[in-house]
Amino acid sequence: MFFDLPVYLLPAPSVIWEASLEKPGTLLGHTVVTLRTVLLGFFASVLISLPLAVVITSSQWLANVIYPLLVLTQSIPKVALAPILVIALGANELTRTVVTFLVAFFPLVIAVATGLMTAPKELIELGRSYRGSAWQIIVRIKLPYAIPMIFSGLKVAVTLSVVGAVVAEFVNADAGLGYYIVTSTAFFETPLAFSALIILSFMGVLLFQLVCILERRLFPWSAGAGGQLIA
Amino acid sequence: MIALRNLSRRFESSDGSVIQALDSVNIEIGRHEFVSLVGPSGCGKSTLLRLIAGLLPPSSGEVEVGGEIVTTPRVDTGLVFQSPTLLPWASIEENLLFPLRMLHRPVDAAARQTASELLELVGLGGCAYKRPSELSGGMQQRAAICRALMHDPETLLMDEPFGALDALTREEMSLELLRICAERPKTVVFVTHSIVEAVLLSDRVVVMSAGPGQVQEIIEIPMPRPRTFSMERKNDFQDRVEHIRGLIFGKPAVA
Repeated sequence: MFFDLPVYLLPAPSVIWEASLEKPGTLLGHTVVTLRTVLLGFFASVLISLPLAVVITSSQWLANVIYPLLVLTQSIPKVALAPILVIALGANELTRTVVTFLVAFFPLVIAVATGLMTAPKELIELGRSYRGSAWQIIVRIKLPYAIPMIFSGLKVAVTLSVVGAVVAEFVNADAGLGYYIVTSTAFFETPLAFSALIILSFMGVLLFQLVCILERRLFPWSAGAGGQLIA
Repeated sequence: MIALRNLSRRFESSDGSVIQALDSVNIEIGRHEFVSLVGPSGCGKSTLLRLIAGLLPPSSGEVEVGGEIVTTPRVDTGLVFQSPTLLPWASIEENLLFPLRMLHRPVDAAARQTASELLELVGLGGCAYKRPSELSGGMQQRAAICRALMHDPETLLMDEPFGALDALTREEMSLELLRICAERPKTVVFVTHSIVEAVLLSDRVVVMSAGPGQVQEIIEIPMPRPRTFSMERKNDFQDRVEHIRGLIFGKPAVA
């Protein structure tokens, strides 16, 4: 009886495969659009999270000011915020990037901030004993020590970026895989929605693996140290 | 060379109470003298070392090194801690060059030559391109001592440098340190928990008492150099060890 399910409810893999092959250009086009949003949102998260984590860990006062705001941004449901952001920022790529960023950046900030505090106290004293500036101590001691944590944050952030981009496309898009799922389900073209879903999953896995490869290439000692727990 | 005058340091603990870590400490240390600080936990040995290093400001009193009052870390001091604190991602050579990079000094062929000479001196000749994790604890601590010597400091401040090593390595390392100091004379301030180690290595041993941290007595160790383990069997060596033990544990000096 399981094989009697109607196609609109749960299409067979073969049906999904055939439906995908019928419109390869359309799917590829939507994939590229979504990937663009994912990457823009992800890079925005990296660009903002790293300095933010440095600021948080450099001063207790700033940490006290910034942390509650950060936690607040996390308690706001992003799906609820997205339509409001469309009004404020317009129905465009910027809004989608901001939504993606809001979904992805928080774990990255926390991971980087935690990582920056793992450097042994004595090593920081040693740096100070050579009259190292705060900047030198961050660049030469704290950041390298944070690399394993930074990369576990990046791995979480890159998969969340895919989630964020789809959320953004649900409320505000005329292209992209999230948009494609909304329109194809509206017409009960479930096989196409499933192909989009599968592509999104693969996108997440591939991006995650890319971050792992990057870590192994650039910082082999990091990937060996703690990264393997996750990778 | 190093003069501590009426040196006091207080800390405020998290419940608001004030802890007197050091109270009116007066010590004068001559050039190229080897001075050990011994005493029970909480007697402020490590605090004293950090005050000399300029890592902590005194609450009152002053630290003078080489005729100057210490207010910030001095570039002519080298620090060694209980743990080697090497950068785990960098080769041993890179770890030795780390002080020069922090000090914005040139990292050139001459610097690498200095590094390899120092490694040779402590028997780590073939380890320049290894990672710290590939070395044993004792070897890592040797590398840490080399790192402290890289910028050729006048003063070496050592905070229980052999405290984390096993007993055999510890003995080996203490003679090694004396050999290094014979080849490249330094003023050494050496914090330790081991009375025997303090007596074996030092020209003078400063015995401290806790709560508040104060100098209890300064003991001269007039044994000839180079020192050897066989000196530990001599009577005056044992007498001094017993005397210090008595000071710390409050028992009669001679049994």
